[in-house]
Amino acid sequence: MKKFQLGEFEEIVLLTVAVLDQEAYGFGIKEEIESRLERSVSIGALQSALRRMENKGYLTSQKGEGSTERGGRPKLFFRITAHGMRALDHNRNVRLDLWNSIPASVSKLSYD
Amino acid sequence: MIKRFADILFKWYCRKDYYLDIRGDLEENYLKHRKKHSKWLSDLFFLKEVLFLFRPSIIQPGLHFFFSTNQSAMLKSYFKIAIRNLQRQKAYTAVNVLGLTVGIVSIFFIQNFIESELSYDKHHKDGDRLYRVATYGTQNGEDFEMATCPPGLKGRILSEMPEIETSTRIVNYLGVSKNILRYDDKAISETKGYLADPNFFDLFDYPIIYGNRQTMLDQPQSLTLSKTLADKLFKDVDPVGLTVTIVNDYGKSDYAITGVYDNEGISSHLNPAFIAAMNSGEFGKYVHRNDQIVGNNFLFTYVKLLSGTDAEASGKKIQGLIAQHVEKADNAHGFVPIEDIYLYSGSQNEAGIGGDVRYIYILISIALLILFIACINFANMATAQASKRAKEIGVRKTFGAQKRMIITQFLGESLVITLLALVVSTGMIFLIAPYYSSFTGKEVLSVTILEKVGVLLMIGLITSLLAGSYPSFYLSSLKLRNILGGQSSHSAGTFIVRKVLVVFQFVVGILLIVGSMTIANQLSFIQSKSLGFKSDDQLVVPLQSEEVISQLKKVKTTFSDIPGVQRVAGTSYTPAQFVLSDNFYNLSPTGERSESVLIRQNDVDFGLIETLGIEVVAGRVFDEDMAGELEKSLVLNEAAVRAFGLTNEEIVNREIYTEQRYGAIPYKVIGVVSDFHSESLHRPIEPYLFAMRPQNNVKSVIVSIDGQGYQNTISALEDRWDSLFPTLPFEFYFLDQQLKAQYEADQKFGQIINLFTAVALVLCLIGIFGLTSFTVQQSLKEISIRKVLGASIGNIYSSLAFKFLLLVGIASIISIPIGITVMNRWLDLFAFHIELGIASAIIPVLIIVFSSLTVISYKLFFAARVNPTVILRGE
Repeated sequence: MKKFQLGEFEEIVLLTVAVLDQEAYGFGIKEEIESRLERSVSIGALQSALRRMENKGYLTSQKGEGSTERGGRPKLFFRITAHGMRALDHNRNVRLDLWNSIPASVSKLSYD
Repeated sequence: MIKRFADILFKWYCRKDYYLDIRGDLEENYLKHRKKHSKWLSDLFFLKEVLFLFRPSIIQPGLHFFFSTNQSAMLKSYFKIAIRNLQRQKAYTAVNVLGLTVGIVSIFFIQNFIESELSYDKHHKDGDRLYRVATYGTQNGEDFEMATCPPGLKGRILSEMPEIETSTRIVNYLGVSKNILRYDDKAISETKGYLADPNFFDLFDYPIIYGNRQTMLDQPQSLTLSKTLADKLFKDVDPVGLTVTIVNDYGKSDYAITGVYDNEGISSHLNPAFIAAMNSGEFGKYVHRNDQIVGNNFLFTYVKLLSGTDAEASGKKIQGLIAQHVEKADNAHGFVPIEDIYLYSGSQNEAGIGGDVRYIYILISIALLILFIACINFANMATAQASKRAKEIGVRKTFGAQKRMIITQFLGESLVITLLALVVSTGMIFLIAPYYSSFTGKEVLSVTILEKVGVLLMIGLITSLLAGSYPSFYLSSLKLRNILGGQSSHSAGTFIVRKVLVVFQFVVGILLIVGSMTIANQLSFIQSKSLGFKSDDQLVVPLQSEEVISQLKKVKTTFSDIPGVQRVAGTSYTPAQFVLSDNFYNLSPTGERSESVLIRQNDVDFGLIETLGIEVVAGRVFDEDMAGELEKSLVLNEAAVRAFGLTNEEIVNREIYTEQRYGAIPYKVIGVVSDFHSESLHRPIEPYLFAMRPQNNVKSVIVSIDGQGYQNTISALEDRWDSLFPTLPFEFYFLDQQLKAQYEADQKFGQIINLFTAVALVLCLIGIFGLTSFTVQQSLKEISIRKVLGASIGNIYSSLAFKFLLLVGIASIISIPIGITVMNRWLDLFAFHIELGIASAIIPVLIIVFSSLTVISYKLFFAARVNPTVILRGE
């Protein structure tokens, strides 16, 4: 279903927002992804993904408190919406479907 | 810095409602980097993040307009149209690119030249506090400024003027034009050698390669070499401790090398090749002992003032200070900033050849004029093209193009042409650079050319704005109704603007022609002017050492024997050399100083006046029969006689007196010679005398030879010299060549002006050609109708040509008076110069008229021979 289509990076961001629950804001999400996936994330890519998904209704945002290390600037916390969860769910199901359809002969393949 | 810039950029493009929290993220991220990396690197990371944030979903909606696909499609269309136009009109493109290229290349080299001229003495540490002590006074009723001052002055001012932090003195071997440095079997001749006080390198900040900066010049007979000279003599070896022999007019002396300083890439008004300790040799010891604080102005003294000192007020105090110690302090002194010496010095006796700030101003104006002409050409042709582009603009406007879009389009087109010209220019610069270097002696390295890419881009940007602004504003303001309604798209205003621009070009062209003609005439005047003595077929043989000078008689007789040699005589100064010795003479032994005449004095040998062929107008010259009287005899020139207020006949056999330490000493005037040019024609003929003192002071012999077979004569001279002095190389030069060298700077200036005149003229003609083609194109209908009504080709040609001649006429009226005034100022630099007559006004105008008529005739004849039926058929 085209309606719930998510890019690979979008999916990761969305999942991370879900993982972080109440604590998902820009820099925190970036750090989380970087430490879990061991890949570097540019603020630009992250922010544009966040805003895009907010527009699609997968995320909502809420202004939080400022902090000294941010020079007093407020954090913008993101939370996943029901719609966003559905999209993740949908994605996972699509993948699972595909996984389950792999014939036994192929799934036996391994490195050794 | 980088972070601030990035932040400003981010704030500019980011959506307002996103800014604060994303900026917070950026800050946290920055702090994270800052913990691990340097500030500089973290700043770069910050910038990188900001650049990566430049995405459609982050940037402000207002900016979307510029980066939307619609806009970029439009830009693509502009670009495509520009390229197509350029391709379609190859001649137009070529003319524009060529014009701009010439302009840019000229600007590049002139900028390079000026930059190196301005770089003199800018390398010294605390250079803004370094000054030279100058001497000001009056001589024979004329004010003078000298770069030198008395030897004892340094000690006095140091002890009595607390604002002077330190001071050093240097002196060149007086009257020595050449020093020969010998090491092993190598001998190198150097002109720029100085003796200096031990603290020289404290003030003159050269990097020291070998040796100890503080102590290098402490001991007598110690010598420091420039890297250039050390490389020639020793090649990559540390020469400290080795011994070098220096041979010059003062004799032969051994020096121990104590250091090498790096002079590469450093330009100074001194540009020393080597520096020896002050207290060295006979001359150095004399300087060392001399503590006079008036007169004896032969030493360069430099001071470093404490910061915050008012140099001008401080310098003025010196005269008063001297007056406390001696009765008469005639001369005033002052401090001249060291950074100004090279370009601004007006002193007579500079250590080196100075630059001239006036030439720099002239060059800057020429460069700007040339670029301006190129821009005018560009603007003229672009507006002339308007008729062709009008339909396109009309269509664009109909489809909703706003004025500023059209301006953008045409500015963009001029940028494309400029970029093309820049590419061509860069190639040209690489090609021309070697010629430029050999001409000016200033290097342009390929590295510098690449470094200058920024400069070139700036020039390009300014050029395209300058050249493109008028046409783009003009074209964008065309009225839609007029364009598409088929009416003429030209208002009277544009014609006037274009004519003004063309007149301006002609003005520049005529000015430059007046300039180059005047310079050429003056230079040929100099070369053909009778100097009052025989200068061709005269060889000058320097006597190099005291050993040779003591055998002057033997040299003379040996040389005279050679067939082809007419006369031989010794002299201390040749006519091309500046006479350093002078003395005051008075008609009475008790006369006042104010009535005395300062006379330059050349100590000569028997037969010199005859050898040079100077005319004797009264009395007689030195003769070997005179024996005992010789020492007290003088021969004056007419200028000296006039200065005494006597006639030639009255002064012969009279005694004149010179003031010495032990009272006035009488000399008898035995003869008067006619005035001759003992100095360059820049200077007037001054009072001058010959004295008969060959023993010590003669430094070279002048050998008058037959013009035919002079090569045999020279090799015979060399053989004789070698048999007399086997250890010294035979050296000689031609007197007339040495005289010519006095005008080298003038000649170079002339060549530069000629070059740029040619460039400017070509540009003017290109512009006129381009403009004519468009004018002709537009008036084809008019011409056709005239022809139908019976006009002949001649009629049409002259009516078209008349329009151009009118412009030339206006340009002449403006430019000729300016040109003549400016060139008269230049001629004033010569005491002897040509007068600018009516020819210097008419010839440039004729040149412009004929060259532009030649260029436009091709187009005009084409127009005049047009077949009316072809043109008018469509009407």
